[in-house]
Amino acid sequence: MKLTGIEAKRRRTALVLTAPNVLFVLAFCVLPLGVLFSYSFFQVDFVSILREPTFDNYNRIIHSETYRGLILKALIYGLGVAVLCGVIAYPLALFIAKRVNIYKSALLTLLLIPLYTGDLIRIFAWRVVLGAEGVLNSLLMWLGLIDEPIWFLLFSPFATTVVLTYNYLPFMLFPLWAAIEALDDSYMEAAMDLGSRDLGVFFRIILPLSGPGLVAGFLMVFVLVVGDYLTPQLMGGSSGVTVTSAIHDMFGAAFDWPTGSALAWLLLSSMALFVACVVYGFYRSPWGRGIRKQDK
Amino acid sequence: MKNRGGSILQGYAFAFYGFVYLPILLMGLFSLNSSNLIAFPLTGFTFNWYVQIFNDGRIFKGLLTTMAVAIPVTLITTVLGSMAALVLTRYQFRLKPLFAALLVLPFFVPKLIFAIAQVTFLNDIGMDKGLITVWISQSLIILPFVTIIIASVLYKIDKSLEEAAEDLGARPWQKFRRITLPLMKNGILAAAFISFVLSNAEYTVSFFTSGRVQPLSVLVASDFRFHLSPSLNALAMLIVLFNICIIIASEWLRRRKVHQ
Amino acid sequence: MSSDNSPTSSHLLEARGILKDYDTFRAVHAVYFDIPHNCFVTILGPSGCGKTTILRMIGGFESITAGSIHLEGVPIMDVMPYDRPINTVFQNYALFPHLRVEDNVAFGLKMRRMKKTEIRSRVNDALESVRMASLARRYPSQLSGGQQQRVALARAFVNEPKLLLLDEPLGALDLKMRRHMQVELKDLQKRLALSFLYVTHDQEEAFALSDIIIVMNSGRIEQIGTPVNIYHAPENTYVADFIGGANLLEGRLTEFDSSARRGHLETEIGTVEAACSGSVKPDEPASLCFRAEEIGVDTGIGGDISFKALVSHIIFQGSSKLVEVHTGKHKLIAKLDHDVPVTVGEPIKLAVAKAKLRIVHGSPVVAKEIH
Repeated sequence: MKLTGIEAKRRRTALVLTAPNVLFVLAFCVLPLGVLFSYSFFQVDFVSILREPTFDNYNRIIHSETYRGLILKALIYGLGVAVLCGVIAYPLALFIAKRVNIYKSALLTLLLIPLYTGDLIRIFAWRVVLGAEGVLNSLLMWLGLIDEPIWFLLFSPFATTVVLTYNYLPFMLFPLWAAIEALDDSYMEAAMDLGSRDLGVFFRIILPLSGPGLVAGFLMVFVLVVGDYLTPQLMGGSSGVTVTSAIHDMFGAAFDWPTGSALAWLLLSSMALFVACVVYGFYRSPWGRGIRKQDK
Repeated sequence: MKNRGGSILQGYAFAFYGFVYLPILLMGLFSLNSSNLIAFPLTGFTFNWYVQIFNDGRIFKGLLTTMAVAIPVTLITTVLGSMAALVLTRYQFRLKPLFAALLVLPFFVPKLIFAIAQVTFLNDIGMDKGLITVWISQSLIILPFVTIIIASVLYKIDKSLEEAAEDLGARPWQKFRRITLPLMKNGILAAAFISFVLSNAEYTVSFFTSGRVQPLSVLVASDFRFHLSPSLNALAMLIVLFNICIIIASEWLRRRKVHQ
Repeated sequence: MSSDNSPTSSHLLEARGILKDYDTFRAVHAVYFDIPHNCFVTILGPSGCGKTTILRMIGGFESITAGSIHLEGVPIMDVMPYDRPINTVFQNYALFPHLRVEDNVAFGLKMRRMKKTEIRSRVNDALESVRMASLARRYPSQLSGGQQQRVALARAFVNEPKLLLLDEPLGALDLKMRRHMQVELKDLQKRLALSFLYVTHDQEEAFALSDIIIVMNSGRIEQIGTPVNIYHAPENTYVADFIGGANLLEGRLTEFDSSARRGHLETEIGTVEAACSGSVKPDEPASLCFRAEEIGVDTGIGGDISFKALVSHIIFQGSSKLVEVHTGKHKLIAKLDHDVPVTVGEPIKLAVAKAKLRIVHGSPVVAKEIH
């Protein structure tokens, strides 16, 4: 297409606005990740890093059951918490989108408060609640319901799962709410008119049409949980060894930056692969039809 | 049928918000409890833990560092975020999805990997960790939030207003200065508040890139890794209350219309 | 630039073969038209026909894919909207919500760095002329639709543009207000001695206001002419049908005199000899066109074409009635006096004066209903 003066000037303005952001992210995020990638091919020689390219790091990790297990564990946590978040968030998203009028923005703002307050304080609050001498245990003992503290409440996969779910619920809720909110009430009324009962309306109309929101939320939670570092560290106790903590160790005490970099990149690629599969699968599924149409 | 479904949903919503706010409320409750054990039964009311926090010089120093981080981060992210939001809502080009993906990339890269990437990068270019490195790394993570908030406001502004300004002879800068900026002002302010809060709360990346300048979040984290104390409760509660005020103000600004 | 493309400067604005592509979709096909000085020109067409795109290309909000636009002989295709001596009244008015009425109107003058006292008197005059001076301190949200409309007008013409563009400016108003504003608009255009380019889908509005109407359909211009011209001498079946729903009978052109622009058309009511519109060509489809009010009951007087038809519907309209009749495969509508005896299901003998018949290009578009 020929660019006339008008178009060219508009492009120039767009470029002026785009360039700083692109340069910022490229220079301080993409480039560092690239540097990290290059490190994954280096070797360690006692206390210095030998810059001779090798595939050894990747080889070692791929053949190590421990590292494979850690990556798998991270992916399973991601999957599990994402599903959990979906199940927990769905009814609330539906409630806020279709059953609330006046308090809608208040309810949404209430969800933003814990989100913006940061993971550190959220985790701290849960440790207060779940600790062995913490609020929940002491309450149950005080009430005489149990005789000794329930140990698995803190420093356990259970605690990790609870807090991960708590931390990332908003990332499921907001896209879901947006998707359901956008649904025209007339679809539901039409379905009801055609003899569908409440559950029928839900399974035939609301659920399929909110598919894109559900998948977006699912992927966000998945990616964030797989990459979470703090929660298992502070809530998981001895079960808190994760692929991210392993990477951290290699950049700390173990001083093995190359292996750490290789592990980091393997984690990134397995996450990306999983996300790509889900997106592709969704796009090709009947649920993705809505998205495909919008593209045209 | 519909009513029963409705009341079930309503009960669920109550339970949900209970789940979300219970830990925070309990934290608040025990910040006012006189015992230094955080456990039931309650022993009595006290403000001592708060007094202790206000008298802790270390925390005050950390707070100053936090401000030295948060204020520049807020400036960087609102300027860059405004530009990005303008691009996303006002211009059409083929690579726009790629641009959006690039913007959110830093947030979705696992924080630890992002942090060690910063570390190796700084090591390679021979730059010392300090305030500037925290500004940059925090800004990258916070930028997506700021962009979305500003874009949500820009999206609601009728594009023909800007066309009308051009039509009446306003050059791009005048158009921005006299029309777009006044109309998006609330969005920028709302985003700045959130940016400030997010910067205060950020821990993982700050921990790796801050070096010797330790903001409050890094200080407190090392404390509570090893022991919980009611004074930490009090501090956390103060932060939460502060955040609540700022977030409510931000949401109020974001939803407010200009002269309606 | 070829010689026939070069602007002659006798017109205010000359659009030469402007077209607009959006990716694979061609929104506007190379169109040619002129806007004379001091003239009310209307682009009339259904929604999505490309009329707003044309307006936006002239305003500079859309680039043109090909072609040229000259304003007083000067090419303006590459001129940014803020440098074009053209102003626009937007469909939804686009009044700046954060500025008072007076500041809205003063905006364009401020951009030109005019002196403050000068701005004040000009703004006052402009508001005076749309009877809005008393509300100058209000914000747009405190005004009614009609008041906002007047402010939008004042804000545009206070800059003394060479051409004023109006994009369905009355679309959001109710019928009564619309009629009222039509009169004001026409009055304003005459007073300002300024050319208006007006876009609407409402043909009544176009007839009431325009000196020249450009009829558009799916990205193409179907006809350019005065309202009288467009109504009484439509070029083709599209215009004939779109403007007031003329009766159309499909036919076959048996004789055609291209210099006199007359021809013989074989139709189901007989072969008629009539004037042809400019676009009629020998081997292309042609139709016979006449208006409902030009049909009368056959009185046997010479000079008429008479035909038999079957009455299928009658709609009472006060002093007259609309009668839908069938002749073979065509449905026609006749406007008859209220006292003419007609019965549904009965045959009737009708007639049209030969002088009123016209042969136009194209086949009848679709079966018509009584509007």
